[in-house]
Amino acid sequence: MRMKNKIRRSFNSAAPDVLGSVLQELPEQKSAPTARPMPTSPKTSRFREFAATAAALALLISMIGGTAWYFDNYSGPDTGNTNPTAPTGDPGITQPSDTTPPNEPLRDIYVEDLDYWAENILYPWYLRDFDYMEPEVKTPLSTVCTDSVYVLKKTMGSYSYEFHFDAWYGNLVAILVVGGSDNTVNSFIPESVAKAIALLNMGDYENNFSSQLYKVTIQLVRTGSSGYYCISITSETELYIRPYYINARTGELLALGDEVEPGYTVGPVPTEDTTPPDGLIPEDMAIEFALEYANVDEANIIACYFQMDVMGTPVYWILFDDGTYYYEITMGAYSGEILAFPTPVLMDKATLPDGRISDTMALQAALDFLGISKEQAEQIICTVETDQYRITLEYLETHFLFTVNAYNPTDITCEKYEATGATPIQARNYALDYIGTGMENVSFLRIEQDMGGEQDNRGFLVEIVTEGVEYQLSLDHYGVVLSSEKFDVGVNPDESRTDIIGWRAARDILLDSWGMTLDELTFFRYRYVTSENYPDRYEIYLDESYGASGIIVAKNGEAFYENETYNTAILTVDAITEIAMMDVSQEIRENYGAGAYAECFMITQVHYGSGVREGSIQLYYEWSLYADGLWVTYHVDAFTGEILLRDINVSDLLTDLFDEWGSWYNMALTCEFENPSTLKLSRFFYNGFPDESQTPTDEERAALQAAGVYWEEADLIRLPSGKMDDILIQYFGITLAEMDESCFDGLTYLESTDCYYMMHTDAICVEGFSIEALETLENGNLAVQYTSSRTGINVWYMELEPWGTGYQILMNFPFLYRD
Amino acid sequence: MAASNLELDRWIKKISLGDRDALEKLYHATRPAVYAYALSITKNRFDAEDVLHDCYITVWNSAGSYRPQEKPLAWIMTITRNLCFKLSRRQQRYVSLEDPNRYCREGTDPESRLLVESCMKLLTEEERQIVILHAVAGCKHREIAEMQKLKTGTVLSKYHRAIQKLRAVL
Repeated sequence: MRMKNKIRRSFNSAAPDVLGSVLQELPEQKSAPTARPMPTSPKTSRFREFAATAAALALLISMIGGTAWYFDNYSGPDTGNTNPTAPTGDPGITQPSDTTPPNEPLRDIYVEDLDYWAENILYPWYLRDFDYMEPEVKTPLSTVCTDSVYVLKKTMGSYSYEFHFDAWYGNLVAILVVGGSDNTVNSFIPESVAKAIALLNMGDYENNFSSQLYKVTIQLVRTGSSGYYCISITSETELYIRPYYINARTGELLALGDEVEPGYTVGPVPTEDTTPPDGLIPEDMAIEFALEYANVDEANIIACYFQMDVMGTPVYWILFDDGTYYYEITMGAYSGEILAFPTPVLMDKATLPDGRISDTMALQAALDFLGISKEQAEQIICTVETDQYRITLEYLETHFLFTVNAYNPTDITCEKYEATGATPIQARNYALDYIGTGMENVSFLRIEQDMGGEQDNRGFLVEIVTEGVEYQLSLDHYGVVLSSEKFDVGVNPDESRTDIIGWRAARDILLDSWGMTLDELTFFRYRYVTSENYPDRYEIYLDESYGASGIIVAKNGEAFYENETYNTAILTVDAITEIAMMDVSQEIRENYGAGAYAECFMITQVHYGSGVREGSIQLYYEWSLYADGLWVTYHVDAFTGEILLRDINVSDLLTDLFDEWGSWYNMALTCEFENPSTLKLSRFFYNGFPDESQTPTDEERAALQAAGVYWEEADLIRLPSGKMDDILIQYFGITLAEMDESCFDGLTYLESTDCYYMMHTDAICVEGFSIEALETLENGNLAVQYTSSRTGINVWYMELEPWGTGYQILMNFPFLYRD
Repeated sequence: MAASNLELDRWIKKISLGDRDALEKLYHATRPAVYAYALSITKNRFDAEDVLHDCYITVWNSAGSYRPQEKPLAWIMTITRNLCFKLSRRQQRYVSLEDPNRYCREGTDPESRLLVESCMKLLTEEERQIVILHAVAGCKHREIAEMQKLKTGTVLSKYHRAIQKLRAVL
């Protein structure tokens, strides 16, 4: 049996069966909502019937302050509040006759589980597109349980949104958009809400919000002060595209477009010609009416447009300010009637009505603090948190975090961080500062660094246990503490013992033996272990992979490893490193000449391990380094410094050589051959000599044209035979003269230049070189099994002969075909 | 591990919908891997058993937050790893170093016991995790490299070296 199978079988045998207890302890109700049974009507017919009524319905249900959009025949929340009233009578859906809860509502979403449900089911599965809500999924949501629906409320900007969910099954049945009070120019509902409303109106419970089956594109069409979203939804079968037009202010479904074939660009709602017709109020008169209506004597006119509004009515849209407020007026272009006059918005430079300074003033306070202008700062973000502004910006490669009192801009604090982002050690120190303790007192430390995604999403999770309290801190890219949680975990029993050394002393012994200090730790963990024969010991780990770890005898502080006890006079890592460095320098000099130097070495990892020696346990350091592409691993006796093992591993070196785009090694991977004499030259030299200019002369072009192998549209690759020989000798140990005739297929030779030529318009390379197996043969050659972009899942075999500082490639062909 | 990522994905989705059968299937497909990985970190079977148990409770509770495009096994292994650390900082367990059943439960056949103990004693932490993730969990070297933040070549060489160590004593 292969070793791999043995290992698998052994752990399978050793693993206990805990399924029974797992099943017994599973929480009953923390499950996803069961989807409500789908309506029996075919989807397409529902679309068509719904389309016929949707536009008309939409116009009927616009409410003062809010508009609710319901799918299906859901009759609205039973709150006693008649606003909103749901539309009824969708002809495509069968009204459930019994609206009472099922007798055994096993799948009810209970109130106490609502947060869990919202966090784990609602957003991941149903509201996946609502990225703006995800970071604040819990706190801003207030939950209201009625007899029949759950309502999740969310306020954002000047809008409030309510998501209504069937309380029995958890299906989203309505989205309520409560219009904001400041219908200013850019005050529109977010795309995600508009998209959800469109999808909701499609009425596919299971698939709408998983966004798997539908392609959705969305475009905002501005119509003066208002606007609408044009949303096209491609059906799951991609037979047609359906446009939905959603009012960008109210969420109202304005119209449902006709189905169109895929490929057709869905445009805005068709409107009438926007050329100003005769009989229109002159523009200056419209402005005068507007100022008069707003009771403003002098104003700065920012814009005055004539246009058709979304319903095709000719209007003027006039935007102006009086130095304190912005005004926005929509006026009938014929009648002069004021159609819309939203509440004027205070201009940035003023103080807010509640006495708070504006964000502009807060930002200015921060800029003044640094003595810089807004243009000099980058990445400015300003958020308000009740009574303070939080401003972050970057200036001169430093990230600044300001906290400005929202009522008093002189009350300002400033923190500085590296703009390039914190290192794990810096993040650890920021976390320790935040907690108010030092590494000395940390009994558990772990740092997780998330480097994925955009900078805004990067950060650190730092877990620290100190004095019986566990802290979990979330830090952003710069090391700013974003959140902190605290748990009481209790002081370890061994800490009250006076007859043994404390874990801190044990830690310091291990740190000393590794030549490490507290300052460089990004991981620390200890455990008190004891047994009858080996009482009172500490298992201590100084890095997460436990590369630096050890057991310290608690009674007398001796370092203890496995079954032997040693004193702490083992060699330090620095000493071992020095020994190995000296050795590898010698090795490099012998193999690469006296000019090779050791300064290029980089220690990549240091391990501490154990091996068997004369029946007892031997200590050694496993020590690896990179040197000129070689991966060298040492086992060094921790007491004597004797080098026990030196393993020069070439897999990394080979990967570096062969994965380099367009290198000669890489080009060799494009060829299939069992002997270099059959190497297809037009393939190997396909990219020519990329590092050299081989511009053909006009005479050469003419000669090739005469031979019928030249055309102007393609690149002419020129290959001097002497240079080809040099490369072939270096990489294959062969010359052109020794190659089979068939190797020259695809090449044209001109005797006058002693060059070969070929023409094409592209370049080739092999990517993703990955070694599956590597073996040194008895003759010293390397046998390599590998996969790459050329081999796909199949494995190719390559044999390499060490030559100079690299290898000659003896063969390269398919070896193992996989299904 | 016979189950494909697609199957694991499907089971996790079903678990999020409250399907206990799916959890059982997932359990049978991943139990050795979870236990072995937990054992490699906790280094005693009692803690590893606790983690094994808690892992599937966590999977049940967190299945809703799992994104299908993630790698299911990597997700489960991350849960396992976090539980190991959680256990180690919240609970003190007094472990007998010479307990013959420190790594294997009673009744484990001698050959398996020898191999598991060899894995635990002869291999470095990193080697052990690579061997377990590849041989027991069925992860590809490339996936392991991603999980362990190592180069694929390093994983490959460490795996082969670990196997050589085990061969030497078995």
